[in-house]
Amino acid sequence: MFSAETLSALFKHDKIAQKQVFETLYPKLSGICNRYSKNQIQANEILNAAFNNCLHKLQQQRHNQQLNAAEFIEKQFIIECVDFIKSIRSEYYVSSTVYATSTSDKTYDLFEDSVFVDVNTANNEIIIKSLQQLVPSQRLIFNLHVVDSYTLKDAAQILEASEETVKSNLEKARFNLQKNIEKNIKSIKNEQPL
Amino acid sequence: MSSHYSYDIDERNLRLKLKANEIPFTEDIWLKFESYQQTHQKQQSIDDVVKKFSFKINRNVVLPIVFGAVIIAFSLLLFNFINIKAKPKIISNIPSTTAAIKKIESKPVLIKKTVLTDSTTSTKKDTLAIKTTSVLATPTLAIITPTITAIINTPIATNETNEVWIATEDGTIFEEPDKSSKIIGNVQKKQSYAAIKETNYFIKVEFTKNGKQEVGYIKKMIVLKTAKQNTNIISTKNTAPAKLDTKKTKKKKLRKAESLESIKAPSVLSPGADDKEPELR
Repeated sequence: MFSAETLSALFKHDKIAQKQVFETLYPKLSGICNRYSKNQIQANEILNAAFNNCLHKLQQQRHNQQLNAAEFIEKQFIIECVDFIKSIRSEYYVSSTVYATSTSDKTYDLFEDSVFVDVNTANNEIIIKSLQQLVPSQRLIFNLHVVDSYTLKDAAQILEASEETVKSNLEKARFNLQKNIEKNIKSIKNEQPL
Repeated sequence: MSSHYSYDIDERNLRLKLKANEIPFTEDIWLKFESYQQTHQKQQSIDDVVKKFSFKINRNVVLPIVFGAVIIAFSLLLFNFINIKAKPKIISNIPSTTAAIKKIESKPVLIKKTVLTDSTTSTKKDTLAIKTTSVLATPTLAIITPTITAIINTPIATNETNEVWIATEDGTIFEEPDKSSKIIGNVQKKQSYAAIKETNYFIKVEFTKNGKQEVGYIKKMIVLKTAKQNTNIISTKNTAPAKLDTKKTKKKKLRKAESLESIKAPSVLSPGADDKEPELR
């Protein structure tokens, strides 16, 4: 993806090379940030921090001849995203156990309105919004396992949790995501045009 | 989770949608990243240095340190209550100490004694007077044996006296102030002895036996102290017994008492009024 010249310049902390790499990878990385973060502001923070760390990690791999820089940055970026969210302990450990919702949300039933909603018809915006509404632990495992195709074992290692915990969180994430998509679709439908 | 729950999300479709989600690049984003990089570059370099020196402090490290500190603190606290200084020993067994004294007595102590001799040597009479003085030290050995006289089985209280004691009954003279010791002479009744020393139960006397002067001990029970001896009298030497004054003095005292009884008390009243008693009004 990147030429040898670009890579060698990147290893020498060349700003132009860095910009080139950033520009090339940004669309993909920004998509990843949006999935892992809770909102756009956090997504921007993650992007800056994670990409900066990825460049540093790439510097350490300068002697690796068979290095695919784009692939390495992408993989490293996901791990950095996870680390960033985990580092916000007040969010990651508290809100994962206590899910602050209103009483009406707690008694929410998918079919209480007896209206069938096809969740697969939801557009990207609704899906990302629904994902961002998940608690961090559920959001992370869903992204890692379902979207980024990590096995449960690997995901458990990255999250530093047991496989059972990860499985449990994944099930909760699936249920809550479906519920969120359903809710978001309904809310958009019920919105009255101006 | 609800009992009506059925998972309807097509995950493959969802994955494709999410992966395809891309945001176009803008220059503002790069500028933001550059500013972020500048602020965090210095911090990261410091962090990298610090990370090299970092070591993990987990409970496996902290707990032993805390326990060790507690044990040391507690042991120090206990040491404050313990007095390590040795108490002075009370000597209860006197024979053991006497034995120790005897041991010391047997060991000779070697002391090197140097005798300094001053010798002046003049070179020649005719030549210039250059006198050289040299001090010669000739070492001589002198063995000094410490003589510690241990008095064993002797009464503690001894007094030197010059008093004369008279035997009230027949008895024996002992070699030592111990009744189980060897008998070296006999004491005759009413014989006087000049005591050299006096102990609690014995008196030390000099006496002649077969023309020889010997020293012995007589029990105090069989002798009676009379009076202080003159400085000239040293010993009795088994000569004629001195006359006793004690009985005479006793008799005199008794007589005096008898005579006092017989003497009439002097009366203040007139001689004519001896028979009549004064009337009480």
